Amino acid sequence: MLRVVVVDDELLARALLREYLQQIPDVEIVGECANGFEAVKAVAELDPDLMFLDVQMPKLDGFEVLDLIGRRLPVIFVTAFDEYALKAFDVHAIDYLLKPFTLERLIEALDRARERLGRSDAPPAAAGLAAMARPRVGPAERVLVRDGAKVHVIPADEIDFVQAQDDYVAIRWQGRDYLKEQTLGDLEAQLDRARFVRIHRSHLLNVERLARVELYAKDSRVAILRDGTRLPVSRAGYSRLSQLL
Amino acid sequence: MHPILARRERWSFYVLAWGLGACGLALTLVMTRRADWPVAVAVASPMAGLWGGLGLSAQYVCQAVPVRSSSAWRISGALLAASLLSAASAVGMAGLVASALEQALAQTSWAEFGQRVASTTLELSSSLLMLGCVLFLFACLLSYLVIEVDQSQENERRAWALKVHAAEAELRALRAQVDPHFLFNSLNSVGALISVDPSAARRMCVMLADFLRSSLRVRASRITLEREVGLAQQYLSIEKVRFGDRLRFSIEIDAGARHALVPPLILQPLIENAVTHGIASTLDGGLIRIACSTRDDKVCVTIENPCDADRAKGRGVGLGLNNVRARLSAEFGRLGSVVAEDEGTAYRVTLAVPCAADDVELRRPAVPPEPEATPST
Repeated sequence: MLRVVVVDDELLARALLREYLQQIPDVEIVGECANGFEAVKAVAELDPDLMFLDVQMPKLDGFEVLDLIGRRLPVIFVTAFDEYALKAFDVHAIDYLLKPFTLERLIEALDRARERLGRSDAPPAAAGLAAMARPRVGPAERVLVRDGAKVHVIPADEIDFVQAQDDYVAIRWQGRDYLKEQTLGDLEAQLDRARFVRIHRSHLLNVERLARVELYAKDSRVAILRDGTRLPVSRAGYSRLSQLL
Repeated sequence: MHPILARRERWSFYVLAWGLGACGLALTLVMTRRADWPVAVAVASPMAGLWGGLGLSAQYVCQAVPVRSSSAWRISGALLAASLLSAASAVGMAGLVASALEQALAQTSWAEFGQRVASTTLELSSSLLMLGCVLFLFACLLSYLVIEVDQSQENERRAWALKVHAAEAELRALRAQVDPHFLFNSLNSVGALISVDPSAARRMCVMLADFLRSSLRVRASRITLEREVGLAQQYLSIEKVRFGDRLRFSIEIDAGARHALVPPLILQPLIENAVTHGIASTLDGGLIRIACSTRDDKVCVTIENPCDADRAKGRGVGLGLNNVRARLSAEFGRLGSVVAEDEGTAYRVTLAVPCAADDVELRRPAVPPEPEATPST
C-alpha cells in the first residue's frame, strides 16, 4: 500500500487528484494539505511514502516545502508552469505532472515512484538543493527552518551569523540557534554575497553585525559582533572580509 | 565613407569608367591630329586621373545642396561654381604635371617628348577646362542618383524594420495580456468539475470561451472603461471557480468613467497580479476591489487586494507592472501613470490615464451589452 499526501491550495485540483487516486488500487490518501505549512506538518506526523506537491502555494511554495522535507520523501510535482518541470528533476523529484493531466499520466508517475521506492539506493534530495534549483532572480529573502512539525521563517537580513556543525548549520537569529540540515556552502550560495561573508571554514557572518576585528595571535584574528559574540576569522576569511568592507 | 568608395562594385566601375575616359580622350587627340599616340596618352592619362579624383568631390557638393530641399537657383549656382573650380584645378594640376614631366625628361633623350607633352597640354587647356566642367556636372548628376538610390534603400529598410518591430510589439502585447497558466489552471478546474458538478463544468467552459472571445475580439486601440472592466469581471469570475471562497471581488464604476477610453486589456496584468500574488499568496484569500472614477481630467482605476505580509517579494509582480507602465508610456507619454503601494497585508495599484470619452461608442453602444457590474458574492 502506497501512502500518499496531496498538497495543493486549490480545492478542485485536490478533488481531481483524489478522484484519480481512488481509482488506483493499493494507493491510500493519508492526508490532504492546502498550503506548505500543512504539508510540512503532515510529513512529520503522517510519515507518508509519497507526496504530490503543487508549486505555487501561499506561505511556502513547493520548492520551499521540498527544501524542508526533501531528505525523507519522494515527491511528484504538480504544476501548470512547465518552466518548473526541468527544475523538478534538478531537485530529484520523481516526476512532474503538468496541469491538466490524464489518469494514464498519473499512473505512469506512480509506477516511477514505486520503482524508485523499491530501489534502496534512491538518491535523496539534499536539503538546500531544492532552494537553489528554484528559478530565482536574486539572493534568498528568507531562510526556512523546520522544527518538528513547525516551520520558522527567518528573514535573511536578520540572521546574525551561521555556524557549521557536522551535517547541520546553526543559524543565529534573535539570540537563538536554529538547526538546519544543510551545508554551509549551500546556504552561503543562497544568501546575499554583499551581506554574508565566509570569515572562517565553519562561520558565515552578516557583516552588518560586525563591530570590529581584533588581532588575536600571529595570523589569527577574531571578529567581535555588536552583541559581544566572538567568532574566529581565518586568514582567507579576513581577506574576503576586507574586500567586502 | 564616400558612397562610391564604400562599395567595391561602385569604385571598380568608377575606375573603369575613367580608364575608358582616358582612352577616349587620347583617341580624340589622335583623330583630331593634335598629337601622336604617345603624347596623347601622356596628356590624357593624368587628366583623366585628376578628373576622376576631383569628380569624387561632386558627392559633397550634392550633399550640401540636396535636390529635394534646395531651390533650382541654388543648385545650379552651386554646381556651376563647383564645376568651374574643379575643372580649373584639374587643368592647373595637369599643367604642373606636364611641366614636371618636361623638367624630368629635359636631360634625357626623351626631352623632345616632354616638351611636346607640356606644349600640347598648354594648347588644349581651354578645351580641357570646358570638358572638365561638363564631366564634373555629369559626376554631380551621377552623385544625385547614387544618393537617391541609397536613400530609397534606407527608407525601405527602415519601413521593414518598423513593420517587424510593430509585429513583435503586438505579439508581445498579446502574450502579455493573458497569462497562459491561467488557461492551464482553468482547464484543470474544468477537468475536476466534470465528475463533481457537470453543469458547473459546462458553465466554466462557457465562461472561458466568452472571456477568450471578448479578449481576442478587441482589435481597437481603445475601448471604453466599461468594456475593459467587463473583461476583468469575466476573468475574475473564472478565477473564482478555481479559488472558491478565497476569492471575492467587487467592481465600482462611476457614471462619468464608464465611457472613458483606455487601451484594451491594460488592467489585465494588474488583475492577474492581484490574483496570483495577492489572493493566491494568502491562506484565507479576501476581497479584490476595483474602483473606477474620474478626477479632474483623469480617469483613475484602483485595484486593491490583500496579500501575505511575509511573502517572498518581487517574484514576477514587477513584470506585469512594468508591462503596464511601458504600454501607458507608449500610449500617453507622461500623461499616463501607474502607482503601486505595498502596505504589508494589502496591496494597491492606481492607474491614471487622460480622460477622453468616445462619442462613437456612446452613440453606438459597445458590442455585447456587458452584465451590470455588481459586487459578487
